[in-house]
Amino acid sequence: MENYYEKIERYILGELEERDLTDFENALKTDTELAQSVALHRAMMQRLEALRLRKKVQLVLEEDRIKPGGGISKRVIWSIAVLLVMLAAAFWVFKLRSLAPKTEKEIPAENPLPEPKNQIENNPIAALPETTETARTTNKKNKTTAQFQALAQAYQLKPQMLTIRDGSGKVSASSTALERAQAAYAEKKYALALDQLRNEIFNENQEEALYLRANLRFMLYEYANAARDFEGLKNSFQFKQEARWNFMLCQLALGNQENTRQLLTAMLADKDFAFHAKALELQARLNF
Amino acid sequence: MARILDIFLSRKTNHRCEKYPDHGALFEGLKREDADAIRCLSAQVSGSIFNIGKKNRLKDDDVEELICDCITICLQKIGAGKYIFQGYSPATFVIEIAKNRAQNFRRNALRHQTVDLETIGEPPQEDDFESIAETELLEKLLSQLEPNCQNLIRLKYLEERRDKEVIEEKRTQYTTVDALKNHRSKCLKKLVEIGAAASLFNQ
Repeated sequence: MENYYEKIERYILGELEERDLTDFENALKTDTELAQSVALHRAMMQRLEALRLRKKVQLVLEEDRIKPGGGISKRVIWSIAVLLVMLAAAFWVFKLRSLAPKTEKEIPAENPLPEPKNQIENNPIAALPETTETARTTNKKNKTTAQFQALAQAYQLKPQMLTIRDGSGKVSASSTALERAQAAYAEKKYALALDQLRNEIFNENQEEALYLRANLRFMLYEYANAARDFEGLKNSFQFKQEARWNFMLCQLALGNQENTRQLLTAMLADKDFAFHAKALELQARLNF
Repeated sequence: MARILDIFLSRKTNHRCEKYPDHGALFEGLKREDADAIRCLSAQVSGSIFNIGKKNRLKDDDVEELICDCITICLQKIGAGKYIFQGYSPATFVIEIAKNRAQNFRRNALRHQTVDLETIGEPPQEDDFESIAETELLEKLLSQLEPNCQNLIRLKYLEERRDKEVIEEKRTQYTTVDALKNHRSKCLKKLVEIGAAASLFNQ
């Protein structure tokens, strides 16, 4: 009997040789206990097979979940990637729109902005237009204001090196604020130059310093302050023409279209105005 | 966004099933128990079974078990020759199993809540039903055997190692196939005995 029990597994697996198989089957017919044991063995082997299959399926599905880029994680990664791309695209479009007026297309090609890079490097905060907040109100207004600013910058009459007494850059402890500012200006360090003059109060004999500060403010996008300085030079013998022109450009940069139009019309009507040709050109561009 | 996700999901399923261009190929793959075929089938049925599970108020973990159980049953039936390919997708077969099993899950839950069962209907017959509970019990019983016996049974029935290969690789203490078979027979007998004692065969 015990001998047959040891052969149950082989019998179920079909591994018994013919002679043993016949003996075993004969025993099965007479021995109900053996037959019952065979049935239980068979049931156990079926359950073991089911367990094997389940483990295999479980393993495959778990591998699929764990595998980098596979299963759910792949889905999630793809979804996140798509979202990121969409967000980046939206951000890029938004940024492009808000910065669009500052692009080269918006700047007059024949009279490009001088040294914009240095200005930004020297004072990146100052490099931002004063009208940033107002520019946010509408895209259209933003675009127009920025266009005007670019145009104003392009048409600015800057202090010539000749008008600056000492642009050698040699500064000593005894140098005046104007001399330090001139030295910095010569080195194109406009923010530094402006810092030398920013809080100075100039009298009528210091027109040169005032004119330099006005221009520096203009170049650093401080149009309202620049306008005040240029206004202070309207009776200057040396700088009144340049100041008049640049004051008009300040109005343009500030978006005061009506003021600009009136000032420009007055310039065009004034045959003695030194920059008549420029005024004509600008008027054509502005199409007032 | 839903459309985009659908595209990705669809592409995922297509990617998993590249090797199995038609139902017949997938069926043959499942018959061979190919891992890729199982992945393909899982990708095809997961969404539907998830919905079935949710309709029957199953938890996420239960849904995952349900997917695993249903694919296992499908493989069992294919292996036992009870599921014969007739041109239909194996996924359809698995989803039908899932419907039955999900109802069983829910029925069991409701039974504990003493709800009237008449409204739910009779459970379908599942002669190859291999529940997670039974799997866990069998694992527990296996662990009650001495380590050598556990090893012998695992190698043969869970890892499907050939006896000759086991001897050659010296995976056991036995040096002949006959010695290995004799000892495994005793181990299996022991497992049957403790299985019977634990009412494994009554489930």
